[in-house]
Amino acid sequence: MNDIIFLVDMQSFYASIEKSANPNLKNQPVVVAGDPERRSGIILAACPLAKKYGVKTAEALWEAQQKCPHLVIVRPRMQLYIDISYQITQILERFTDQVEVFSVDEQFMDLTGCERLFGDMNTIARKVQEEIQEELGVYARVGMGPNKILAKIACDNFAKKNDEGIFYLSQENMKQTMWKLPVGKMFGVGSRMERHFHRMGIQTIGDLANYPVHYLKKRWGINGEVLSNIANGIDYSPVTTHTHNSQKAVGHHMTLPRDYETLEDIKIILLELSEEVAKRARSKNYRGHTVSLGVRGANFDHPTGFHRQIKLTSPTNYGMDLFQAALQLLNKHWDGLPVRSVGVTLSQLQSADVYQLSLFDASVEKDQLSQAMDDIRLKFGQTAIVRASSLRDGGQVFDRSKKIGGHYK
Amino acid sequence: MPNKLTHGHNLMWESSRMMLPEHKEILQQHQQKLNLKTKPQLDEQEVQCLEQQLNEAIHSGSTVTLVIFGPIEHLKLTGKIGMVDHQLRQIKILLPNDELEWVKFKDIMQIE
Repeated sequence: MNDIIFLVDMQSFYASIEKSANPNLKNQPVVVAGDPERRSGIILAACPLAKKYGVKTAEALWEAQQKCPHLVIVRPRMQLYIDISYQITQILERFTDQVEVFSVDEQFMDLTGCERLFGDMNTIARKVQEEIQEELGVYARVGMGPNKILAKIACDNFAKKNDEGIFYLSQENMKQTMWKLPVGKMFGVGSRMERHFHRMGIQTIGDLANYPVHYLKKRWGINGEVLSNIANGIDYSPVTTHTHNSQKAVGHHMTLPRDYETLEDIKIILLELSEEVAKRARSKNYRGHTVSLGVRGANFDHPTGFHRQIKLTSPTNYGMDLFQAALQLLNKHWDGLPVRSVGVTLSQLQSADVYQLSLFDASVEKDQLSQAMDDIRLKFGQTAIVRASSLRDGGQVFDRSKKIGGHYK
Repeated sequence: MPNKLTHGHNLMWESSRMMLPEHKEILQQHQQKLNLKTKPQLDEQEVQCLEQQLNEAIHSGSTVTLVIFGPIEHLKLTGKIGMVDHQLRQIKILLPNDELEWVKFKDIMQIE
Protein backbone atom coordinates (compact mmCIF):
# COMPACT_ATOMS: atom_id res chain seq x y z
CA MET A 1 0.00 0.00 0.00
CA ASN A 2 1.21 3.50 -0.79
CA ASP A 3 1.85 6.18 1.78
CA ILE A 4 -0.44 9.17 1.66
CA ILE A 5 1.37 12.49 1.92
CA PHE A 6 -0.33 15.90 1.70
CA LEU A 7 1.20 19.26 1.02
CA VAL A 8 -1.19 21.92 2.25
CA ASP A 9 -0.55 25.34 0.78
CA MET A 10 -2.33 28.60 1.64
CA GLN A 11 -3.48 30.80 -1.22
CA SER A 12 -1.81 34.24 -1.07
CA PHE A 13 -1.37 33.71 2.64
CA TYR A 14 -0.59 37.20 3.96
CA ALA A 15 -3.19 38.86 1.75
CA SER A 16 -5.86 36.31 2.68
CA ILE A 17 -5.25 36.87 6.37
CA GLU A 18 -5.54 40.63 5.97
CA LYS A 19 -8.75 40.19 3.99
CA SER A 20 -10.37 37.95 6.52
CA ALA A 21 -9.24 40.26 9.33
CA ASN A 22 -10.89 43.23 7.63
CA PRO A 23 -14.16 42.39 5.82
CA ASN A 24 -14.20 45.84 4.14
CA LEU A 25 -11.44 44.61 1.89
CA LYS A 26 -13.44 41.64 0.68
CA ASN A 27 -14.10 42.73 -2.88
CA GLN A 28 -11.04 44.88 -3.34
CA PRO A 29 -7.67 44.07 -4.85
CA VAL A 30 -5.34 43.81 -1.86
CA VAL A 31 -1.59 43.48 -1.65
CA VAL A 32 0.66 43.18 1.37
CA ALA A 33 3.81 45.18 0.73
CA GLY A 34 6.79 46.44 2.65
CA ASP A 35 7.82 50.02 3.16
CA PRO A 36 8.69 51.64 -0.19
CA GLU A 37 10.96 54.16 1.55
CA ARG A 38 13.18 51.40 2.84
CA ARG A 39 13.50 49.25 -0.24
CA SER A 40 11.48 46.46 1.28
CA GLY A 41 8.73 48.01 -0.85
CA ILE A 42 7.95 44.90 -2.82
CA ILE A 43 4.77 42.88 -3.08
CA LEU A 44 4.91 40.11 -0.46
CA ALA A 45 1.49 38.75 -1.32
CA ALA A 46 -1.28 39.70 -3.69
CA CYS A 47 -4.86 38.48 -3.41
CA PRO A 48 -6.44 36.74 -6.42
CA LEU A 49 -8.34 39.93 -7.35
CA ALA A 50 -5.08 41.87 -7.50
CA LYS A 51 -3.45 39.09 -9.47
CA LYS A 52 -6.17 39.47 -12.11
CA TYR A 53 -4.75 42.91 -12.84
CA GLY A 54 -1.40 41.28 -13.47
CA VAL A 55 0.12 42.12 -10.10
CA LYS A 56 2.87 39.64 -9.28
CA THR A 57 4.55 38.65 -6.05
CA ALA A 58 8.01 40.20 -5.53
CA GLU A 59 7.60 43.05 -8.00
CA ALA A 60 8.06 46.65 -6.86
CA LEU A 61 5.11 48.42 -5.34
CA TRP A 62 5.07 51.17 -7.96
CA GLU A 63 4.93 48.61 -10.76
CA ALA A 64 1.88 47.05 -9.17
CA GLN A 65 0.24 50.45 -8.69
CA GLN A 66 0.68 51.20 -12.36
CA LYS A 67 -1.18 48.05 -13.29
CA CYS A 68 -3.93 48.63 -10.77
CA PRO A 69 -4.30 52.24 -9.55
CA HIS A 70 -6.97 51.49 -6.91
CA LEU A 71 -4.88 48.80 -5.29
CA VAL A 72 -5.29 48.56 -1.50
CA ILE A 73 -1.90 48.35 0.16
CA VAL A 74 -1.57 46.79 3.58
CA ARG A 75 1.56 46.79 5.73
CA PRO A 76 2.80 43.35 6.71
CA ARG A 77 2.23 42.05 10.23
CA MET A 78 4.72 39.24 10.45
CA GLN A 79 3.97 38.09 13.98
CA LEU A 80 0.30 37.67 13.09
CA TYR A 81 1.17 35.54 10.06
CA ILE A 82 3.41 33.31 12.13
CA ASP A 83 0.68 32.91 14.74
CA ILE A 84 -1.91 31.98 12.10
CA SER A 85 0.49 29.55 10.50
CA TYR A 86 0.86 27.94 13.90
CA GLN A 87 -2.93 27.75 14.26
CA ILE A 88 -3.05 25.95 10.92
CA THR A 89 -0.44 23.50 12.18
CA GLN A 90 -2.74 22.81 15.11
CA ILE A 91 -5.74 22.30 12.80
CA LEU A 92 -3.74 19.82 10.74
CA GLU A 93 -2.72 17.99 13.89
CA ARG A 94 -6.38 17.08 14.39
CA PHE A 95 -5.92 14.69 11.49
CA THR A 96 -2.44 13.36 12.16
CA ASP A 97 0.42 13.99 14.53
CA GLN A 98 2.81 13.81 11.58
CA VAL A 99 2.86 17.44 10.46
CA GLU A 100 6.00 19.04 9.11
CA VAL A 101 6.02 22.79 8.61
CA PHE A 102 7.87 23.56 5.40
CA SER A 103 7.40 27.31 5.32
CA VAL A 104 5.04 29.88 6.73
CA ASP A 105 2.32 28.88 4.25
CA GLU A 106 3.13 25.27 3.36
CA GLN A 107 2.94 22.21 5.59
CA PHE A 108 3.36 18.51 4.95
CA MET A 109 1.11 15.88 6.51
CA ASP A 110 1.56 12.13 6.58
CA LEU A 111 -1.88 10.53 6.54
CA THR A 112 -0.83 6.96 5.90
CA GLY A 113 -3.27 4.67 7.65
CA CYS A 114 -5.81 7.37 8.47
CA GLU A 115 -8.42 6.38 5.85
CA ARG A 116 -10.46 4.38 8.32
CA LEU A 117 -10.69 7.34 10.64
CA PHE A 118 -11.54 10.11 8.20
CA GLY A 119 -12.39 8.51 4.87
CA ASP A 120 -10.41 8.35 1.64
CA MET A 121 -7.82 10.97 0.83
CA ASN A 122 -10.09 13.21 -1.22
CA THR A 123 -12.51 13.34 1.68
CA ILE A 124 -9.71 14.19 4.11
CA ALA A 125 -8.36 16.89 1.78
CA ARG A 126 -11.80 18.51 1.55
CA LYS A 127 -12.16 18.39 5.34
CA VAL A 128 -8.78 20.03 5.77
CA GLN A 129 -9.81 22.77 3.35
CA GLU A 130 -13.15 23.26 5.07
CA GLU A 131 -11.75 23.56 8.56
CA ILE A 132 -9.07 26.06 7.57
CA GLN A 133 -11.59 28.09 5.55
CA GLU A 134 -14.13 28.10 8.34
CA GLU A 135 -11.80 28.96 11.19
CA LEU A 136 -9.33 31.31 9.55
CA GLY A 137 -10.92 32.34 6.27
CA VAL A 138 -7.96 31.19 4.22
CA TYR A 139 -8.31 29.04 1.11
CA ALA A 140 -5.98 26.03 1.21
CA ARG A 141 -4.85 23.91 -1.70
CA VAL A 142 -3.88 20.29 -1.14
CA GLY A 143 -1.35 18.38 -3.19
CA MET A 144 -1.41 14.65 -2.58
CA GLY A 145 1.04 11.93 -3.43
CA PRO A 146 2.78 8.79 -2.26
CA ASN A 147 5.76 10.88 -1.15
CA LYS A 148 6.67 14.46 -0.40
CA ILE A 149 8.01 15.45 -3.79
CA LEU A 150 4.93 14.26 -5.68
CA ALA A 151 2.69 15.99 -3.14
CA LYS A 152 4.67 19.20 -3.62
CA ILE A 153 4.55 19.03 -7.43
CA ALA A 154 0.87 18.07 -7.31
CA CYS A 155 0.20 21.18 -5.29
CA ASP A 156 2.40 23.66 -7.18
CA ASN A 157 1.44 22.64 -10.69
CA PHE A 158 -2.04 21.14 -10.49
CA ALA A 159 -3.97 21.77 -7.26
CA LYS A 160 -3.24 25.50 -7.50
CA LYS A 161 -4.70 25.58 -10.98
CA ASN A 162 -7.84 23.47 -10.77
CA ASP A 163 -11.21 24.40 -9.28
CA GLU A 164 -11.33 22.13 -6.27
CA GLY A 165 -7.76 22.88 -5.20
CA ILE A 166 -6.98 19.21 -4.75
CA PHE A 167 -4.83 16.96 -6.88
CA TYR A 168 -3.35 13.50 -6.52
CA LEU A 169 -0.09 12.80 -8.33
CA SER A 170 1.19 9.23 -8.32
CA GLN A 171 3.76 7.11 -10.07
CA GLU A 172 0.90 5.99 -12.35
CA ASN A 173 -0.48 9.31 -13.53
CA MET A 174 2.73 11.35 -13.45
CA LYS A 175 3.73 10.31 -16.97
CA GLN A 176 0.56 11.81 -18.44
CA THR A 177 0.66 14.92 -16.27
CA MET A 178 3.94 15.89 -14.65
CA TRP A 179 6.19 14.70 -17.47
CA LYS A 180 4.45 17.01 -19.92
CA LEU A 181 5.44 20.09 -17.91
CA PRO A 182 8.42 22.22 -18.95
CA VAL A 183 11.49 21.37 -16.92
CA GLY A 184 11.68 24.86 -15.43
CA LYS A 185 8.45 24.18 -13.51
CA MET A 186 10.08 21.42 -11.50
CA PHE A 187 10.94 21.79 -7.83
CA GLY A 188 14.68 22.41 -7.54
CA VAL A 189 15.17 23.82 -11.04
CA GLY A 190 15.91 27.52 -11.16
CA SER A 191 16.47 29.71 -14.17
CA ARG A 192 20.16 28.85 -14.41
CA MET A 193 19.55 25.10 -14.19
CA GLU A 194 16.77 25.45 -16.74
CA ARG A 195 19.19 27.05 -19.20
CA HIS A 196 21.67 24.21 -18.70
CA PHE A 197 18.95 21.65 -19.34
CA HIS A 198 17.71 23.42 -22.45
CA ARG A 199 21.23 23.37 -23.84
CA MET A 200 21.30 19.62 -23.24
CA GLY A 201 18.06 19.21 -25.16
CA ILE A 202 15.96 18.62 -22.06
CA GLN A 203 12.69 20.52 -22.44
CA THR A 204 10.16 18.74 -20.24
CA ILE A 205 10.29 17.01 -16.88
CA GLY A 206 9.77 13.75 -18.78
CA ASP A 207 12.92 14.41 -20.85
CA LEU A 208 14.86 14.82 -17.63
CA ALA A 209 13.35 11.67 -16.12
CA ASN A 210 14.51 9.63 -19.09
CA TYR A 211 17.93 11.24 -19.37
CA PRO A 212 20.69 8.79 -18.37
CA VAL A 213 21.35 9.54 -14.73
CA HIS A 214 25.10 8.94 -14.91
CA TYR A 215 25.57 11.94 -17.21
CA LEU A 216 23.69 14.12 -14.75
CA LYS A 217 25.73 12.70 -11.89
CA LYS A 218 28.97 13.31 -13.69
CA ARG A 219 28.12 16.93 -14.26
CA TRP A 220 26.40 17.91 -11.01
CA GLY A 221 27.28 15.18 -8.55
CA ILE A 222 24.69 14.44 -5.91
CA ASN A 223 22.45 17.25 -7.07
CA GLY A 224 22.23 15.73 -10.54
CA GLU A 225 20.93 12.49 -9.13
CA VAL A 226 18.53 14.34 -6.82
CA LEU A 227 17.02 16.16 -9.81
CA SER A 228 16.72 12.92 -11.78
CA ASN A 229 14.94 11.33 -8.83
CA ILE A 230 12.56 14.26 -8.55
CA ALA A 231 11.70 13.99 -12.24
CA ASN A 232 10.92 10.31 -11.67
CA GLY A 233 8.83 11.07 -8.61
CA ILE A 234 11.25 9.35 -6.25
CA ASP A 235 11.73 10.73 -2.74
CA TYR A 236 12.54 8.78 0.40
CA SER A 237 12.47 11.62 2.88
CA PRO A 238 10.04 11.18 5.77
CA VAL A 239 7.59 13.71 7.14
CA THR A 240 9.30 14.61 10.40
CA THR A 241 7.99 16.76 13.18
CA HIS A 242 11.33 17.44 14.84
CA THR A 243 12.91 18.86 11.70
CA HIS A 244 13.26 22.31 13.28
CA ASN A 245 14.94 21.17 16.44
CA SER A 246 18.50 20.73 15.33
CA GLN A 247 20.29 23.80 14.25
CA LYS A 248 23.38 24.00 12.11
CA ALA A 249 24.00 27.69 12.07
CA VAL A 250 22.88 31.02 13.46
CA GLY A 251 22.84 33.81 10.94
CA HIS A 252 21.52 37.27 10.32
CA HIS A 253 21.17 39.04 7.06
CA MET A 254 20.09 42.55 6.28
CA THR A 255 19.15 44.46 3.16
CA LEU A 256 20.24 48.00 3.85
CA PRO A 257 17.84 50.94 3.49
CA ARG A 258 20.34 52.65 1.17
CA ASP A 259 23.61 51.59 -0.44
CA TYR A 260 26.47 51.80 2.01
CA GLU A 261 29.65 53.03 0.41
CA THR A 262 32.26 53.60 3.11
CA LEU A 263 34.04 51.08 5.26
CA GLU A 264 32.97 53.08 8.31
CA ASP A 265 29.29 52.58 7.52
CA ILE A 266 29.64 48.91 6.72
CA LYS A 267 31.53 48.31 9.95
CA ILE A 268 28.58 49.64 11.94
CA ILE A 269 26.29 47.11 10.31
CA LEU A 270 28.86 44.36 10.66
CA LEU A 271 29.10 44.96 14.40
CA GLU A 272 25.33 45.04 14.80
CA LEU A 273 24.91 41.79 12.91
CA SER A 274 27.74 40.17 14.87
CA GLU A 275 26.18 41.20 18.16
CA GLU A 276 22.80 39.93 17.04
CA VAL A 277 24.16 36.58 15.91
CA ALA A 278 26.19 36.20 19.12
CA LYS A 279 23.14 37.07 21.18
CA ARG A 280 21.03 34.43 19.49
CA ALA A 281 23.77 31.83 19.76
CA ARG A 282 24.01 32.52 23.48
CA SER A 283 20.28 32.34 24.01
CA LYS A 284 20.31 28.89 22.43
CA ASN A 285 23.40 27.92 24.37
CA TYR A 286 25.68 27.46 21.38
CA ARG A 287 29.22 28.33 20.50
CA GLY A 288 30.33 28.33 16.89
CA HIS A 289 33.63 27.63 15.25
CA THR A 290 33.19 29.18 11.82
CA VAL A 291 32.17 32.69 10.86
CA SER A 292 30.97 33.47 7.36
CA LEU A 293 30.28 36.81 5.78
CA GLY A 294 28.15 37.47 2.76
CA VAL A 295 28.11 40.83 1.00
CA ARG A 296 26.13 41.80 -2.07
CA GLY A 297 26.85 44.73 -4.29
CA ALA A 298 24.33 47.42 -5.06
CA ASN A 299 24.28 47.15 -8.83
CA PHE A 300 21.85 44.51 -9.99
CA ASP A 301 23.03 44.51 -13.57
CA HIS A 302 26.62 43.78 -12.59
CA PRO A 303 26.20 41.56 -9.56
CA THR A 304 29.19 41.82 -7.28
CA GLY A 305 29.88 40.56 -3.80
CA PHE A 306 31.18 37.49 -2.08
CA HIS A 307 30.43 34.86 0.50
CA ARG A 308 33.47 33.68 2.44
CA GLN A 309 34.12 31.95 5.70
CA ILE A 310 36.88 31.71 8.22
CA LYS A 311 37.56 29.18 10.95
CA LEU A 312 38.28 30.61 14.37
CA THR A 313 40.98 29.30 16.66
CA SER A 314 38.39 28.47 19.28
CA PRO A 315 34.59 28.35 19.30
CA THR A 316 32.90 31.52 20.48
CA ASN A 317 29.60 33.24 21.09
CA TYR A 318 31.04 36.64 21.86
CA GLY A 319 29.98 39.46 19.53
CA MET A 320 33.36 41.15 19.28
CA ASP A 321 35.08 37.89 18.24
CA LEU A 322 32.58 37.47 15.43
CA PHE A 323 33.05 41.08 14.40
CA GLN A 324 36.85 40.76 14.25
CA ALA A 325 36.58 37.67 12.06
CA ALA A 326 33.94 39.24 9.82
CA LEU A 327 35.97 42.42 9.48
CA GLN A 328 39.00 40.40 8.49
CA LEU A 329 36.93 38.80 5.73
CA LEU A 330 35.55 42.15 4.65
CA ASN A 331 38.99 43.73 4.40
CA LYS A 332 40.26 40.84 2.36
CA HIS A 333 37.40 40.34 -0.07
CA TRP A 334 35.44 43.56 -0.41
CA ASP A 335 36.01 45.28 -3.75
CA GLY A 336 35.11 48.74 -2.45
CA LEU A 337 31.88 49.02 -4.45
CA PRO A 338 28.63 50.12 -2.77
CA VAL A 339 26.93 47.43 -0.74
CA ARG A 340 23.26 46.54 -0.72
CA SER A 341 23.05 43.71 1.76
CA VAL A 342 25.22 42.06 4.39
CA GLY A 343 24.88 38.78 6.29
CA VAL A 344 26.88 37.23 9.11
CA THR A 345 26.55 33.54 10.02
CA LEU A 346 28.05 31.48 12.81
CA SER A 347 28.24 27.77 12.07
CA GLN A 348 29.84 24.52 13.24
CA LEU A 349 27.84 24.92 16.38
CA GLN A 350 28.50 23.05 19.57
CA SER A 351 27.06 23.22 23.04
CA ALA A 352 28.26 26.16 25.10
CA ASP A 353 28.33 24.10 28.28
CA VAL A 354 31.72 22.59 27.65
CA TYR A 355 34.50 24.29 25.77
CA GLN A 356 38.24 24.45 25.53
CA LEU A 357 39.69 27.37 27.49
CA SER A 358 42.13 29.46 25.59
CA LEU A 359 45.43 30.42 27.17
CA PHE A 360 45.74 33.84 25.59
CA ASP A 361 42.13 34.83 25.51
CA ALA A 362 40.20 36.19 28.45
CA SER A 363 37.14 34.06 27.78
CA VAL A 364 35.76 34.32 31.31
CA GLU A 365 35.66 38.08 31.09
CA LYS A 366 33.91 37.91 27.73
CA ASP A 367 31.35 35.51 29.09
CA GLN A 368 30.59 37.76 32.01
CA LEU A 369 30.31 40.80 29.78
CA SER A 370 27.95 39.01 27.40
CA GLN A 371 25.93 37.70 30.32
CA ALA A 372 25.57 41.18 31.76
CA MET A 373 24.39 42.59 28.42
CA ASP A 374 21.91 39.75 27.94
CA ASP A 375 20.50 40.32 31.42
CA ILE A 376 20.04 44.02 30.77
CA ARG A 377 18.32 43.33 27.47
CA LEU A 378 16.08 40.73 29.02
CA LYS A 379 14.93 43.15 31.69
CA PHE A 380 14.76 46.45 29.82
CA GLY A 381 14.24 45.45 26.19
CA GLN A 382 16.37 44.58 23.20
CA THR A 383 17.53 48.14 22.58
CA ALA A 384 18.29 48.98 26.21
CA ILE A 385 21.98 48.55 25.57
CA VAL A 386 23.58 48.96 22.15
CA ARG A 387 27.01 49.73 20.78
CA ALA A 388 27.73 53.46 20.55
CA SER A 389 28.44 53.11 16.84
CA SER A 390 24.79 52.14 16.31
CA LEU A 391 23.79 55.69 17.23
CA ARG A 392 25.36 57.02 14.05
CA ASP A 393 23.04 57.33 11.11
CA GLY A 394 24.19 54.10 9.50
CA GLY A 395 22.97 52.18 12.53
CA GLN A 396 19.94 49.94 12.12
CA VAL A 397 19.40 48.29 15.52
CA PHE A 398 16.46 50.42 16.58
CA ASP A 399 14.67 49.85 13.31
CA ARG A 400 15.43 46.14 13.28
CA SER A 401 14.13 45.56 16.76
CA LYS A 402 10.64 46.36 15.44
CA LYS A 403 10.82 43.82 12.66
CA ILE A 404 10.59 40.15 11.87
CA GLY A 405 12.24 38.89 8.70
CA GLY A 406 12.85 42.47 7.57
CA HIS A 407 9.19 43.51 7.84
CA TYR A 408 7.20 45.09 10.62
CA LYS A 409 5.90 42.80 13.31
CA MET B 1 27.55 12.28 6.66
CA PRO B 2 24.07 11.94 5.18
CA ASN B 3 23.50 13.79 1.92
CA LYS B 4 20.42 14.71 -0.08
CA LEU B 5 20.16 11.14 -1.40
CA THR B 6 20.37 9.35 1.94
CA HIS B 7 17.16 7.47 2.62
CA GLY B 8 15.27 8.42 5.74
CA HIS B 9 16.88 11.86 5.96
CA ASN B 10 15.19 15.11 5.19
CA LEU B 11 18.09 17.09 3.74
CA MET B 12 16.53 17.69 0.35
CA TRP B 13 13.72 19.65 2.00
CA GLU B 14 15.69 21.18 4.81
CA SER B 15 18.20 22.72 2.45
CA SER B 16 15.59 24.43 0.33
CA ARG B 17 13.14 25.85 2.80
CA MET B 18 12.75 29.30 4.23
CA MET B 19 11.77 29.60 7.85
CA LEU B 20 11.88 32.66 10.05
CA PRO B 21 13.66 32.05 13.35
CA GLU B 22 10.65 33.39 15.25
CA HIS B 23 8.46 30.78 13.55
CA LYS B 24 10.87 27.96 14.36
CA GLU B 25 10.88 29.06 17.98
CA ILE B 26 7.08 28.66 18.26
CA LEU B 27 7.22 25.21 16.68
CA GLN B 28 9.97 24.06 19.00
CA GLN B 29 7.94 25.17 22.02
CA HIS B 30 4.95 23.37 20.56
CA GLN B 31 6.92 20.14 20.19
CA GLN B 32 8.05 20.43 23.78
CA LYS B 33 4.49 20.93 24.97
CA LEU B 34 3.41 17.78 23.16
CA ASN B 35 5.91 15.75 25.11
CA LEU B 36 5.07 17.09 28.56
CA LYS B 37 5.00 14.30 31.09
CA THR B 38 2.29 13.84 33.63
CA LYS B 39 3.23 12.85 37.12
CA PRO B 40 2.94 9.13 37.73
CA GLN B 41 0.58 8.02 40.48
CA LEU B 42 2.54 6.24 43.17
CA ASP B 43 0.77 3.40 44.90
CA GLU B 44 0.75 2.89 48.64
CA GLN B 45 3.60 0.45 48.81
CA GLU B 46 5.78 2.69 46.73
CA VAL B 47 5.06 5.67 48.95
CA GLN B 48 5.87 3.53 51.97
CA CYS B 49 9.10 2.41 50.39
CA LEU B 50 10.06 6.01 49.65
CA GLU B 51 9.28 7.02 53.22
CA GLN B 52 11.43 4.25 54.55
CA GLN B 53 14.34 5.16 52.32
CA LEU B 54 13.98 8.82 53.24
CA ASN B 55 13.97 7.95 56.93
CA GLU B 56 17.05 5.84 56.55
CA ALA B 57 18.84 8.58 54.68
CA ILE B 58 17.99 11.20 57.30
CA HIS B 59 19.14 9.06 60.18
CA SER B 60 22.30 7.71 58.60
CA GLY B 61 23.16 11.08 57.06
CA SER B 62 24.26 9.37 53.90
CA THR B 63 24.37 10.89 50.44
CA VAL B 64 21.41 9.96 48.28
CA THR B 65 20.27 10.62 44.73
CA LEU B 66 16.71 11.81 44.31
CA VAL B 67 14.81 11.71 41.08
CA ILE B 68 12.47 14.68 41.00
CA PHE B 69 9.54 15.05 38.67
CA GLY B 70 9.70 17.65 35.92
CA PRO B 71 7.20 18.08 33.08
CA ILE B 72 9.91 18.28 30.44
CA GLU B 73 12.73 16.40 32.06
CA HIS B 74 13.15 14.65 35.37
CA LEU B 75 15.78 16.17 37.59
CA LYS B 76 18.39 14.19 39.50
CA LEU B 77 19.72 15.68 42.71
CA THR B 78 22.53 14.16 44.73
CA GLY B 79 23.21 15.31 48.27
CA LYS B 80 22.49 14.90 51.94
CA ILE B 81 19.07 15.46 53.40
CA GLY B 82 19.22 18.40 55.76
CA MET B 83 15.82 19.16 57.15
CA VAL B 84 12.25 18.02 56.84
CA ASP B 85 9.55 20.64 56.86
CA HIS B 86 6.26 18.92 57.65
CA GLN B 87 4.25 22.11 57.46
CA LEU B 88 5.06 22.82 53.82
CA ARG B 89 5.64 19.15 53.08
CA GLN B 90 9.11 19.59 51.71
CA ILE B 91 12.69 18.56 52.46
CA LYS B 92 15.95 20.42 52.26
CA ILE B 93 18.75 18.84 50.25
CA LEU B 94 22.34 19.89 50.88
CA LEU B 95 24.15 19.67 47.59
CA PRO B 96 27.86 18.85 47.55
CA ASN B 97 28.73 22.38 46.38
CA ASP B 98 27.28 23.88 49.61
CA GLU B 99 24.09 25.00 47.93
CA LEU B 100 20.72 23.86 49.10
CA GLU B 101 17.49 23.04 47.39
CA TRP B 102 13.97 22.60 48.71
CA VAL B 103 12.05 19.68 47.27
CA LYS B 104 8.34 18.95 47.70
CA PHE B 105 7.45 15.48 48.97
CA LYS B 106 4.99 15.00 46.17
CA ASP B 107 7.61 15.59 43.49
CA ILE B 108 9.95 12.85 44.66
CA MET B 109 9.76 9.87 42.38
CA GLN B 110 12.71 7.74 43.34
CA ILE B 111 15.46 7.56 45.95
CA GLU B 112 18.74 5.72 45.57
